Amino acid sequence: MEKIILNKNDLNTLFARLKDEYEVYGPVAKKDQYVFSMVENVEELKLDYDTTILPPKKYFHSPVQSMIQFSEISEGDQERSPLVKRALFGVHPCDVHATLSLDKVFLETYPDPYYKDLRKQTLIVALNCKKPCRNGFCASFNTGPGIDIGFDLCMTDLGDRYMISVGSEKGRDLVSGFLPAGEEEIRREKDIIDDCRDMVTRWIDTEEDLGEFLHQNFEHKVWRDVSKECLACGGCTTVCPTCYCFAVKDVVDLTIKDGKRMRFWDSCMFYEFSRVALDHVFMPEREARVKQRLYHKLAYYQQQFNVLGCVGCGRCVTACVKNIDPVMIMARIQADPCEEKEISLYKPPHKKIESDENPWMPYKAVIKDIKKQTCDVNTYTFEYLDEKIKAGYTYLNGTYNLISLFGTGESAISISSWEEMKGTFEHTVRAVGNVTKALAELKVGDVVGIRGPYGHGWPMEKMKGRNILLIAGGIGLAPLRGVVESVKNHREEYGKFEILYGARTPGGLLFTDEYEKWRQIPDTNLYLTVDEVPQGMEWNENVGVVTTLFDRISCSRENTVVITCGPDIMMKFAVLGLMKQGWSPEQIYVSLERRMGCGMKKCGNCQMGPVFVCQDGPVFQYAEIMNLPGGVF
Amino acid sequence: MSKPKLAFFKLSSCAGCQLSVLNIEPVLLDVLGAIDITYFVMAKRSNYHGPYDIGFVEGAVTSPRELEELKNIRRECNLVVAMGTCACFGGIPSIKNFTGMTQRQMEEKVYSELWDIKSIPVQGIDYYIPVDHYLRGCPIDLEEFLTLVKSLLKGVNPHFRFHSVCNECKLNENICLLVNRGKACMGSVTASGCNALCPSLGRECEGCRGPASDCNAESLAKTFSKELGLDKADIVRKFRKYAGNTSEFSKGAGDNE
Amino acid sequence: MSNRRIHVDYIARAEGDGAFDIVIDNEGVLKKASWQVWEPPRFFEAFMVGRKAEEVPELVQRICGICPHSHHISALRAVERAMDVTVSEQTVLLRELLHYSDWIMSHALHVYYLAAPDFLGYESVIAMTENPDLLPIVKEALKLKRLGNDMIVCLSGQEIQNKTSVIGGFTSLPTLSDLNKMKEQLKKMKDFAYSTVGLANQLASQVPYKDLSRKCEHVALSDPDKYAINDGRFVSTEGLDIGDWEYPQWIMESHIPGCNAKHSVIKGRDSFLTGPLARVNVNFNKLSKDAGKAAGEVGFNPPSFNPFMSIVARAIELVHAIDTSTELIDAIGKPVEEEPKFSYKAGESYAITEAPRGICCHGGKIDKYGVVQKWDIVAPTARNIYNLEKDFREFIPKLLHLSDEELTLKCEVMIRNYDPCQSCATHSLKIRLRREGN
Repeated sequence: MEKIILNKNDLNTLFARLKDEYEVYGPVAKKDQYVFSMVENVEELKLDYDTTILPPKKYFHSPVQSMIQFSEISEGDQERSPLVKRALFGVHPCDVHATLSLDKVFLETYPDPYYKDLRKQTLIVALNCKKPCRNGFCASFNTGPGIDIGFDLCMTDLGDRYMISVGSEKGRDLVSGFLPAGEEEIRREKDIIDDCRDMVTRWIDTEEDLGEFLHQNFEHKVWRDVSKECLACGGCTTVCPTCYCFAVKDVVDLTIKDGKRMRFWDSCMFYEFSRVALDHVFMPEREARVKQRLYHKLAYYQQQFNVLGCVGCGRCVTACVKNIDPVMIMARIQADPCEEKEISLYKPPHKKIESDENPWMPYKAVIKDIKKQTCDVNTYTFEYLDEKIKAGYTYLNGTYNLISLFGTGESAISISSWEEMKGTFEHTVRAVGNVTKALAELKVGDVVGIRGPYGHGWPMEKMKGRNILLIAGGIGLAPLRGVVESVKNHREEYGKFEILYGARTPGGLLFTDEYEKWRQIPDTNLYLTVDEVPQGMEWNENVGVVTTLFDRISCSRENTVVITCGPDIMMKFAVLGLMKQGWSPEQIYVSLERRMGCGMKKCGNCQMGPVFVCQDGPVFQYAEIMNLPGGVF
Repeated sequence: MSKPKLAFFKLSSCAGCQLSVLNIEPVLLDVLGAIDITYFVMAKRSNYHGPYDIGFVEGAVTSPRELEELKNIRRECNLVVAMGTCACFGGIPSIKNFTGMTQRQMEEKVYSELWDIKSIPVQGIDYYIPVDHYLRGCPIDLEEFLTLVKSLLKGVNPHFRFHSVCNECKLNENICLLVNRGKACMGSVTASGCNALCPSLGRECEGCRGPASDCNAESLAKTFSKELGLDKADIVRKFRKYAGNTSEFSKGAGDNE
Repeated sequence: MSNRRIHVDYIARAEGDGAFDIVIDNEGVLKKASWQVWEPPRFFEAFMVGRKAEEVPELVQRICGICPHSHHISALRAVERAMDVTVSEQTVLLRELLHYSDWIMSHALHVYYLAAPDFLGYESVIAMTENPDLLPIVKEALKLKRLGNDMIVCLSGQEIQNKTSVIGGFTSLPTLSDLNKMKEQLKKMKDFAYSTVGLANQLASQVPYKDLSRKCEHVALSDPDKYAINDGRFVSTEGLDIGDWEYPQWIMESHIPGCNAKHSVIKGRDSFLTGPLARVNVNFNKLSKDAGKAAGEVGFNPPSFNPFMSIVARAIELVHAIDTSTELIDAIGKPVEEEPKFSYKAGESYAITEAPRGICCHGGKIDKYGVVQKWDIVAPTARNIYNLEKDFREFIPKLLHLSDEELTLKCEVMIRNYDPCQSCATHSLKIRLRREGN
């Protein structure tokens, strides 16, 4: 790597060169602490800073990012803020590494245009550490005190001058004319960094694979203790340089039509993080959230993005009122680990989607038809307005779209039509949340926004040549309707077909006018059940939860694929019931619901242990997820 | 669509929250364009009877007559909003619930003429009636008020998130008053939405917005005692101030011990 | 003619809920003017006992959302006196600036939102905005009120409740550029404030208000060097002159037979008036130059005993507040960071400040651990009630020719002259108007 020497009084020259082209940001004092802030001259810079309150992440992944400006429910334009060239001056190695980790999240699949723009426009001048900071433990992960990737320039303070490593062409231009470093100076730089590493006292032992080790120790008693202490304040995640989760919200002005779709930093430590309509929360227990954060940092990040989730900057420790410290926690577990058991780490399916288009922009789709299913469920038929989009739109059974009503928000809704259907597609939607209720107010001819499809659907290929046992509860039949129709369309490709469908009451059953046709599909059984029958209502089918239909199953265990969707509690009893009868988790597929804010593995709201339900699912082979740390249901 | 009819009611309170509503000068005229204020005694002379679309209730219930008034408000309003910490939790006046005095002892202490004084323990309004939305804070946050008004105009749930003040405080890159200054800041257990106003001004959070969701007051009380050296009475005062009635803050005050 | 009864169940456009009960017999004599507790009791004086000294200013500002800063500063000063805490000159100046900001906000609110609609025949300022001639004035008034609010926000973090001011000083200070911006804004609003005096005078000079006058004792804080706001001696138009900490010995609450609320009197004397009119009367020669000039231009001659002139006094004080704020900003210069410091000490003391609507007294006893043993609150509105009742006795007989509706309105105007905030009145009231006979 090209190395340059900069005399200390030449720092002004370098700074002035930067100033010519860039807005310069660097560490400045805030009382007795430091923050990254815009700087006008070298004197403001505090290059001997230990750490900053917030990491420089704020310049790439803005705490508040306006994404789309809108005026009507389907009229929106990408927010384009003037691109300013920025230089971050004096970024410590841990924060540079953190930026590389964020890159994986934001740029690898569905590249995020907002992050990308800011990242592209920003030059990084790193600064190697001379002495360890109070709470850092970067040396454990080799993310400090020195660095050799991820920067345009990197400085090391040699005492009387700086050694500068050149990391990019842009960097090289900035140091043109300065003298190259000699061997003696290169040795001194190495010594300084080595000395600093030797002075680091805080380490996480990474000898063993942390992912596996932590998975082994998911039930360790330390987690209960930490959860009792933890204030769930989210301070740790806010100051974390690799945390990226965000919440998407439509903010309107007083016209209540015009506004912006924005995203705000979110935190898995918050009770509301996983909240969906009807105030259902998927991670209500503090312990689950405490683990989600630390496991995400130390294990899941690696599993999902193949990059470090913790860079050892120590900010979470500094911020914590209760001194919750990953180093101490790991030391405690390592000193007294749980008994070893066989585990296998979850491996997400890798799917890479790259496009120059903004993945956040929904396409306009017109409502062609609305059909009432139950008192609060409608089936909507949509058609994209743009002919090209319409012609090119395909999806698989079991996947979903995000339906966007600007001003109200977006909602992830499974597709209830079948993959062979062309030109139009359907969503069967229960009006329970803001978006779905607003959708219920719309009429045929109204235009909404739709983006998708997202995720992995039902295993249509794997089911070929095999029997299919479909178990659904309530609105859970919607994402399975496509399977029914596809089986009907290609009846010869599949074996026996059995449908067990339950709802709370007869009035809650979906697609009732289609049952006759379904029953006419050769070699197909449809069994219905309801939890209760209101007085005076005629009902000739089963009464009881869906598992009470199990004795009617005639599909043989050996050659059947089970596909199920419904409330978590229903799926839980269905899956456990089947497994008790000897069905294997390899033959069972479940479709899960979580809060899905983006559909693109970015907002983090749908995380379930190491899994992103939005992209790794929503359909999972049960065997793949049954042993997730923390479980599924 | 006709403009929704709004009403503002006052129970036991300082009127600061109602006054806050008048403090939105820059957008006041726009707001008035979108809504119809049909009952607002503090601002206008012509006030009309219900029914109202949205009733904002400021203040706590401290007397039987207010209770009657409150029930009437519930009957007259399609939606009821508890406006401000007094209406949400009882607020500052609820301190009296924990003085150890009987109502009569307290009445005698403050008033010499007792013929018309009938007081009851101070409660937030949802102790007595169902409440649709809450605007916390002493006083309310104007941005939050506007967000709620816009949400109600739009017919959506604003889904306020009452996670802790620390989040907003960190976003403001404040120096932590508890960790770095040893001040007994309640921010970590108090609901956000104020943009961490007090800590951003060097003032410890006093918990005026009530408990954050998943509030762990016991743990913070332990820190107050062990790390900051507050004595038991100090800690009780901290948690029995704005929202001492809540079960969450009661735990901080040692109710479980 | 049957009994004429006028009920005013609540006083609109005043802070807090109140209802007067006024009974006039058929000879036009005010038979009864009584009030009962309406504003529900919050027991501040009871629950303050046992709280910590540093909580007192925080808690008492919650007595009243319309003059929180007055309660706050009175309590600060009382606690500081009791515990022998001295504060820097900068703190003194900043507190004065804060209180003047509150005056600007409160007076603008009162003159334009609360009082002007009465005089102009509108039900509210909202209704005034529908008149295209008045809309520009309302908009300017909003700006003036916003200016007061912006100043308060700049100094204390929020419009209503103070977040920065604590025993010993401030936890956070405005920057010099904040203060300079404030000065610019003050300069911009000065002309409008000045014109408010003329407008207020026009309103108060209408029939019948201009002829209604009643001599009574006017009391205000007074200082030989400046227009007193946060401290000074307690001085009256009838020669009273005492230290403000002595108020508990001089302001008495007496029980008048036939009336159920307590009446404030000065010991050995009678009811008294406090508020802008009293202040302008007592301290006329301490007003800023332009405030004095504006007063002169409308022919205001102190002392004026016409309570309807209080709106003019308020307008004069608006000009004064703007001028003085500007001077205070100059005197403060670049704010210097100071750590507010104090230690607990046993003591007892009292202090008065001038709330926009009159004297606001706080004080009590603190033990050596800083725990409050006793706290006494005397809010301006409660002080004025007895005087208001006397206004009724004097003026209602002169207005009996008016219709019920008009008489009710006039009674309300009389009440609003005092800019009452009934939450303030920890011992509070209920109001109903009734005519008998004929």
